[in-house]
Amino acid sequence: MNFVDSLFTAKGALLTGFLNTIAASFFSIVIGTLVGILIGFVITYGNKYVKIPFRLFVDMMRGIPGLVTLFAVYYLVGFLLQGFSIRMTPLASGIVALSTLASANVAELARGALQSIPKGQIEAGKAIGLRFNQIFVNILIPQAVVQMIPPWINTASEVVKGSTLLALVGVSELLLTAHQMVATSGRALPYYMFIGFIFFSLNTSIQYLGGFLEKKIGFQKR
Amino acid sequence: MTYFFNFEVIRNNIGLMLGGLGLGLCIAVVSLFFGIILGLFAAFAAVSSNPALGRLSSGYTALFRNTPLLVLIFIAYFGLPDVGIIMEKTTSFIFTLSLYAGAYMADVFRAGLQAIPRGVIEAGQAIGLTRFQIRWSIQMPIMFRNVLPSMSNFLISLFKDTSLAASITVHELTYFARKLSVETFRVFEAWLTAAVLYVVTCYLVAYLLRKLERKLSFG
Repeated sequence: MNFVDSLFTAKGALLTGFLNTIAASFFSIVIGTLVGILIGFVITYGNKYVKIPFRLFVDMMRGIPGLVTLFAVYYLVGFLLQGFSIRMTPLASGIVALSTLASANVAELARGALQSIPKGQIEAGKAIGLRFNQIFVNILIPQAVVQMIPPWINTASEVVKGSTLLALVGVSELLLTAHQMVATSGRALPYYMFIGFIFFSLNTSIQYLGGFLEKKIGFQKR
Repeated sequence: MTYFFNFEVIRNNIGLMLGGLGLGLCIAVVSLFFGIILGLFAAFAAVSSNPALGRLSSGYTALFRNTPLLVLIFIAYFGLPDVGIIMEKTTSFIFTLSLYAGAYMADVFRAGLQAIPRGVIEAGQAIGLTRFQIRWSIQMPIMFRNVLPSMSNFLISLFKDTSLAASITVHELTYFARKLSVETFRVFEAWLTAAVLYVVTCYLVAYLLRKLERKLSFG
């Protein structure tokens, strides 16, 4: 059976794999962004004692390789749920690990963006009698968001690339699907290159989308 | 449910884990070395006046930056034997990581080269240096000094990426941590140790590189 035919034969498995990749990336990006922004706020505006554990979390996560986080979550969850009737799918463990990673990255981005806004602007807001939430919504957020978008797009594309790690804990996403097809066909190169091409296109579109978004929002800034 | 920490297994295997950590560091350094060489060629191609070279260079960086590293590792280790290129697993991993590092370094170097004021190069031309001399003794020293911080950040990120070698059973730290956690069920201890070792090494390497940078940037 030649390569293209075998792709058609396995189109169901490939589609499932694609959907799993998309689902893992999407949920990890969304959860990671929301949690990351919250942590970023706490690190920037929280008091000394609240700050420390979150700062520690972010610094730790940035020093641990993604694969180690993933394996740790996967094996720990498996271990802790021993003897319980609850099961956590590998996909769920994967999403937990990826969103944890993403949240640490986003937290750093949010902190950087918020801190880069000059203090004078907050003072100016106070001077004209705005409350903190008004300053926040009308002055800080719009500027922080514009600054955060380019690096955030990078983080999103890192997450999409990182979702391949899930293959190593048995999530049947694209890479594992290819791995199984390789096992049945005996040839490896075309299948892995095909998967590589899908990821390449996915990431290239994310970059383009990012560029587009940047232009759109950057325009409003002026 | 109670869990009793027992680091006995870790104590007995700490030699293996540290060895794995050392192997990871070695792989990262070697790959960075090859990556720098590749990156230099790609960066000079990117800023050259030849459009074909420029496109080749940007194709290379885009390809390796937008494809997941794990897929690249699988292509090199499982795929290349199809066309007769068979490499030992560590060699294959270093090969992949070097190409990957080359793509990132190319972007870093390109930015570094573009930041060099035009006048400096023109000054070189005015005193009659050849093109190679301008590159070797004017552009490269200035560029390297400017991109040192990005290079050391990237070395740390490469070191973290060496954990992916566990996927093709290269005996580095993540491989041993996984082995211990699966075979002895000391799950907490194994991953805690691995995480601590990685974090400590990352910060140690970062600290040492910052010192080195400070030394070199005033040299």
